[in-house]
Amino acid sequence: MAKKIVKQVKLQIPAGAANPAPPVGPALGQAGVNIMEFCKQFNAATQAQSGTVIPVVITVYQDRSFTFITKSPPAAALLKKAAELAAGANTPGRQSVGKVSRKQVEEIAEIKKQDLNSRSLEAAVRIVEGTARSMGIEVSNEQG
Amino acid sequence: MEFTASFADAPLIEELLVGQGWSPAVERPARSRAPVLFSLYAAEGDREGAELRARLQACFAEWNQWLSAAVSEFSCRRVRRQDWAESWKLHFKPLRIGRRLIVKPSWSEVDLQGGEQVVELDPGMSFGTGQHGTTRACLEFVEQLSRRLEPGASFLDVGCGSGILSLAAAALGFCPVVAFDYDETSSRVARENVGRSPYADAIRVETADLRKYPLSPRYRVVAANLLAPIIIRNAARLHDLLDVRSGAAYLLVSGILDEQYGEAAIRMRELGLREEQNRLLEGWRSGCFVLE
Repeated sequence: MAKKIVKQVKLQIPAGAANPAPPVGPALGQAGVNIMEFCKQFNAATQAQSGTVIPVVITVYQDRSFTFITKSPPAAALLKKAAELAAGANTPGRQSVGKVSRKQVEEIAEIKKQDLNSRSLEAAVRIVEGTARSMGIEVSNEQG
Repeated sequence: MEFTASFADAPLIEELLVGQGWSPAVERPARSRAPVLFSLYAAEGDREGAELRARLQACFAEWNQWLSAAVSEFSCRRVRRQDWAESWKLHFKPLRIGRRLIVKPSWSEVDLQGGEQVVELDPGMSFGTGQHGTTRACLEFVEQLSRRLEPGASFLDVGCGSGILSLAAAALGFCPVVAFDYDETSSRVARENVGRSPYADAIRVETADLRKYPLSPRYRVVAANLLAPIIIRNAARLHDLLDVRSGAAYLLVSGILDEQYGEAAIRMRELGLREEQNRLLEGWRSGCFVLE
């Protein structure tokens, strides 16, 4: 018999460094998840990727047991890497801090679409473009 | 600070928040396509809450044009630390380990049998409540060794977390007991737990890095409940911390996923350690190695 899912919680956690501080503690503690068990499992699974933020989806079952899967890096991190930036804009939408090409957006969207329910490249491109715009990263129409 | 968004808009909103440096918790109910709940945590305080709300409002004033349904309602509630600490407590039950050891929370009562020792430990902000397979296997090894080694054998707890292994070791007659953790929060919590226990004089807690940990004195039992790569990388140092002058010395290794155990065991054998036993609990394999 399949275990009944109560909810899914998605968090962004530095690889190998989950601890019970917010957001992990409140988000999982309120869901009745064994916080320490999750942290230890997550840290063991992600220690090799130290230095990156890993999105993780925790599925909580009716008996409060849980499973988790890690996802692709946030679009913001992939965009910053593509634009060779340390940080996004302080005044989103009004300040330009860098540029990425249409091809780079599509490459990032290819990675991100795996995480979308629709698996739609078009939807993923919209998300990457929106994130870029909000971070002050321009999308140029050059292909390179 | 909480707000809900449509199922369709949730992936974009999440990326936008992360792009601004936030770390949202995104909660999706079991029912598919139901609204998604976003939670953002600010430090406790009215000013911090107001600042977070103002920043969110400013961002969504820009972002709403890209969403299918505008987000404009933000609710703020205070999440008391004990709210989630308490929920974890409900899962913490007394544990009987081997013949002589009981680990229990302070709020729980147990009937003691003859010769049983109790370690009282409340779950806190550090690993090691005994509920986890890695810690439980180590506790079992410690309890077994306590019946084989003479009282007063020395014990080193590497990566002590809450200090649970040290408390168990002291309760079972090991002395001296030294515990250290690289993480200052863990060593602070361990110090507090030791301070509240009857073994405050028997256990010394330090903040230290295994890679630089002094090789003198050495110990009859070294417990390393860490992670496989750290154990493998530092295997020689763990070996060098063992004291064989008055008999066999024991290295307990834990925090190793089953599939990683083979590599750790090979490294131990290369160093002349013999595997005496291993335990598989909840996908984690722990080993008791002896150096003669």
